Amino acid sequence: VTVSETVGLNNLNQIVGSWIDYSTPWSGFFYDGTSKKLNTRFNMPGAVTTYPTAINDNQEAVGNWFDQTGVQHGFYWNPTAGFSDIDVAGDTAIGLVSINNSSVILGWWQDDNTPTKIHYVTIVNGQPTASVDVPKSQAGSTVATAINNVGQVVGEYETQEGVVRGFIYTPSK
Amino acid sequence: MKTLTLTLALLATTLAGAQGKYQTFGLGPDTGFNRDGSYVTDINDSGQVLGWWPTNGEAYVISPRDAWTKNIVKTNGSPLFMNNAATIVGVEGPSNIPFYKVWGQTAVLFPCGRGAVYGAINTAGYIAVACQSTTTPTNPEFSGATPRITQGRRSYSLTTSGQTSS
Repeated sequence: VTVSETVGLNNLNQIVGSWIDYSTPWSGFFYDGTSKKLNTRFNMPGAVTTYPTAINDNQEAVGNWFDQTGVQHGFYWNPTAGFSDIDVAGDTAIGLVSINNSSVILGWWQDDNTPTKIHYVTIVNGQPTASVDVPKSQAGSTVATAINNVGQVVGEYETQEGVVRGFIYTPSK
Repeated sequence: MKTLTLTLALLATTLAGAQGKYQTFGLGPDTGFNRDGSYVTDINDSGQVLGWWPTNGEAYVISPRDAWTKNIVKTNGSPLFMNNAATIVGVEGPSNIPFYKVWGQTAVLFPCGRGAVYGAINTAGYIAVACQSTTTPTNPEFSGATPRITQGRRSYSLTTSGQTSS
């Protein structure tokens, strides 16, 4: 068994991640550290592969899944509603990075331009709410890596001169 | 005047975006040091930012008001994670052994094998990582590799063995 390097852990000691073995494609798992229950079929329905990436303290999980044509989509899950697809209008692929305790999802989507560009966004209720794109940065260079429970996002970008810098994004209130 | 100039140079640049505010900061020369993901890796609820220097893999934390703590621990360039107590989990360089580091204390290595091992840490200090194991599971589904949370607060707790042969 090989387990993904990316795992999510919340303050309820619940863990999500993905795994693979010789007979099973990449699948999601959900482990509850209190009940010690392990679900090794934590998969988006209809997905070829599923990669959970994060879970918050409300037991809301997000991650990514691939369809039969090899296109990457996002998913949202909670214990009541189960799995639902997350895509942004016009995207050719999407990836969900994290979800905070206010249910704000950090992710990216790929446009259909030539060449394609990646756009980082925050997503609430399945809809993009803010673009995370450092002003005056090189187009498509902003990469966001984490979001905290205040909604601040960090990452890196390239200047017009090609210099890599870090950023902290604080959303408007 | 010289002091003022230096202070201004250390302050991060603030840029106004359409929907929020961007504070930016320099990372030094991009040497591509064992790059495996972003140089800026996490932010906790206090607004402390965690990253590592492109030049040598040394971890740093930027606290509010632009207070930098540098040379925290040498990493191998894998993603780092930090909780609200600024306890950090990552992979040490050049040993490639995962570690956790409580703020102000020395880093503690996991008996978790070598290799690219990412993870996560929660507020209570529990850590989830995928460890390498030398044991071969008899059951392909997590037998011998059952996620578990052990060792309690600010210690390590391992999700799975991972990377085992089947």
